[in-house]
Amino acid sequence: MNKKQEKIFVLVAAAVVIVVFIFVPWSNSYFGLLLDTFTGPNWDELNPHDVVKNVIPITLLEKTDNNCKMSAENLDNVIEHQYFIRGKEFAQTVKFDAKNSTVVLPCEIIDGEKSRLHVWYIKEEAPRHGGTYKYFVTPWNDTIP
Amino acid sequence: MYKFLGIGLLCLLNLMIIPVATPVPGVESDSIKMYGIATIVLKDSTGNILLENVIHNQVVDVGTTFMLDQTFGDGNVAVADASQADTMCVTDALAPNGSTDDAETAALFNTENGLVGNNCIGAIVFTTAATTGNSGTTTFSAGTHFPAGTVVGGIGICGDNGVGSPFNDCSVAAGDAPLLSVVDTTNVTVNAGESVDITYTLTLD
Repeated sequence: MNKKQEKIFVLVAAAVVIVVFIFVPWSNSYFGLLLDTFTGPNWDELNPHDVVKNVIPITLLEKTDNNCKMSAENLDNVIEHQYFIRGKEFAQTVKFDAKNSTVVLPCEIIDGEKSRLHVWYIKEEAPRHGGTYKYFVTPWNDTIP
Repeated sequence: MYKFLGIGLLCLLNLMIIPVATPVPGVESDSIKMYGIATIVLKDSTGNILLENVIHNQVVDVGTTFMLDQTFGDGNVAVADASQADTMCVTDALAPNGSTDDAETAALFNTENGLVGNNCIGAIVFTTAATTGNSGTTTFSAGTHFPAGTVVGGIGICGDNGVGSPFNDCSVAAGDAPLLSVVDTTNVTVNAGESVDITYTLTLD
């Protein structure tokens, strides 16, 4: 293969990759799987059957620098559920104190004295992203679960 | 140099077109066509929300069979409307078997449940739309449906026995709807004055 043929070979291969990328559904391919590990799930497009959503009220107890200690009643039940396989990891992330039912969150994500803490996770048996979780805080008056 | 770049692109192309796994019939896929979702909301005596949980169910085998019998002309006699699945029962089993075991039945669900007396509400009028059946909000209160301090761990959707609500346990009578599905909700402790609002939606799409 001479230099010119190699260039044509690369150009054709690149063109095919671009066409496949644009027109072929590759989300269920190994490439899609690889990309998923970097991008994470699109929570809006997941099947509702695969996602468990929890919301609890949280109230500001103490503020130290950028750490807000919040009351989090009932969070123990969320963490201990059999489907939440990474519940303990989440508990460590938010410094959950089971004895006093408190969590410590960055103050910049807290909106007001009382807010709503959302804890969403994907069940282990889901085709993709099993065990993945996320949490976020919304204002208290936001009533969407 | 160009040759290796070209080979790399072909490898990438392979990764993009080879599926991770070939779907196997009967195994869960990305596009589930039937699923049930329950929403449970724990409220205090003044109506403040203490916990909300949106979680999927397990449609058990007897429930699936019942739906098929009701749908197709298979020689089985369809049950009357009053005997359809119109009942919601709460259980104090913290991880109800039916949420993971397809072989669960109403009798097993009842045995596993330790609540006695009034843990079921029947004659719920479901609202059906193009692809969904929705129970609307059904409220269970401490003191009425179970003692204060009860930990509610799950829900069963089943048939009643033609008795007035509330009543005890899913019906196991022949001719009544069987246990349709079970939900293992996040456990909620319902104290005096508190209640749980439960909504169940089954989607066929």
